[in-house]
Amino acid sequence: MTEMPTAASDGAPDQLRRRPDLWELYADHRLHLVRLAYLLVGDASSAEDVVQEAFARVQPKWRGLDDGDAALAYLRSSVLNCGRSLLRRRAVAARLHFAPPQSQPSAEVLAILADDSRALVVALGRLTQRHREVLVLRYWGGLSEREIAASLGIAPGSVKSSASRGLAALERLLEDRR
Amino acid sequence: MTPIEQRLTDALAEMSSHVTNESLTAVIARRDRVATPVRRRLIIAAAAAGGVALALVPPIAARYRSTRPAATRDPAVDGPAYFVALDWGTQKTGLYDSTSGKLMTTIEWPGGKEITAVARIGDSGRFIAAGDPSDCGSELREITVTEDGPGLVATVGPMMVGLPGRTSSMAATAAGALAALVTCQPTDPAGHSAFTAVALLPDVAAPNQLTVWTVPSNEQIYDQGDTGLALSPDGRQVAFLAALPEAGLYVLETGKADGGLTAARLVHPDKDGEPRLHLPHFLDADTLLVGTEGAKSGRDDAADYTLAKLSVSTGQLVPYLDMPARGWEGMAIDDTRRHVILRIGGRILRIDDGRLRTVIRRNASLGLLTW
Repeated sequence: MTEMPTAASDGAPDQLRRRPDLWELYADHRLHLVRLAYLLVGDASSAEDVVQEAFARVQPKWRGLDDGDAALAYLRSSVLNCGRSLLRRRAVAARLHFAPPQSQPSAEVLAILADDSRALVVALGRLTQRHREVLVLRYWGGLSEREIAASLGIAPGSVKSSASRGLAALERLLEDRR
Repeated sequence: MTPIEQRLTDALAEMSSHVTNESLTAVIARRDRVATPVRRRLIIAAAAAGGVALALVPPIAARYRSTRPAATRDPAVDGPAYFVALDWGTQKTGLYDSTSGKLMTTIEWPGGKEITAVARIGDSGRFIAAGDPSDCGSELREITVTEDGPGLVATVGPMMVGLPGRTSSMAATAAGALAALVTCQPTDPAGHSAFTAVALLPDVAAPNQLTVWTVPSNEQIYDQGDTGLALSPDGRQVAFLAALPEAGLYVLETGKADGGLTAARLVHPDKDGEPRLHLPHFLDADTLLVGTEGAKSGRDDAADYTLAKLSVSTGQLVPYLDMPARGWEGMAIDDTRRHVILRIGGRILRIDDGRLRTVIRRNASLGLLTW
């Protein structure tokens, strides 16, 4: 499991609450945030756009963020919001027949995955957005229920419920596929 | 970690590993000159252009506004004047204006401790709240809301009763019966064993009548945070979403529960082809108001979110009101059963006699809704 980094994970104790500058945060966490967005939106170039947009949204509020962990948590929420906006735009475009709807990775992405991973990723794409986000933050990001709740702006109990129901739905989808 | 959790973890790790530093678009920027990003400059330019365009077409905009339903602009609504909510951002619980969504006053638990669940008792400004959680305990206190000139004051009373776990959701009746979902997760391995349970008190003023039904191992109650349990107005039925082991909405008659939760009856199964239910609330002894989530259609996230009425005796589900957003997050219903407040897709909405109004339009960070 990939551990979501903390902003000051390599800092000395007296620096733990120090707020890094935005560029520092970008350099340290861009890859991780792009990977998070990639798992949610399904293609790497859109994921890069999502992260870029998230940083652009955070920039005006930068002075109000107390420390590095708060800034990183805010960025993570911003990536999730921007990812959701992108999926909404895709859904609207699909309804207008301008483009195929996609919350699934592209065929090119699926082609390079092992069979079991491909089945899992396809099934994950068929879950609701909330279930998908909770499962990715928990089983890829390694975040606690409380951290996921803060990132998604929902109750910790809802995180637990979404994870249970998401996993149950995932198992059902994989069984149906057999 | 279960096999499905392990497979998911491995699959996500494999997929994410295909994005590497080398595969990312190179970023060229001088550290001492982090200018407004290009995308942002484009957004600003587009926004400016959009502003000009809007200025050129005021008649169209005005005509669009005038066609909106008058009811959504009508601030004169009856129903509760405020609701209780926890702001996940500040972790403060408070009373919020039920029309504007603005914070009116905060609720201070003794010692600044956390409040984890709230339920209303009757319609006279009385609430019961669970707080000060530990690994395997929490305490209940009464909150009384009184008017103080133009404002409100929330007074937290002394501890009434302790519960054997962290309380994540509660429901109460006007007469003071209470059902709570509690979880014990001991951090000391030599201490208790972990469990989830439904706790029932026929009268919160009589703590010695506490009954605790533990959820059998390998089975679970879906804890939905704001609304894990519903209690019928007469206190004789508890409704909850669970996998016992079949997943779905269950109703337990409290007077016939000698066998514990296994005596609960599956009213609506959670299976393919049926809408998934969320956030049950009793309207009367035979009717539950539930949020439904239809099957996803196509490969995007399109699904219908509708409030519906579920008959406890027949299991029949009747659609009631389509929702303008997606993602059930919390709901509360007042004592008259005419007014509902809910959070869906980050919005706070209220329903008064079937008429939907927006309280907070977007990105609301409020949970534990109660009124």
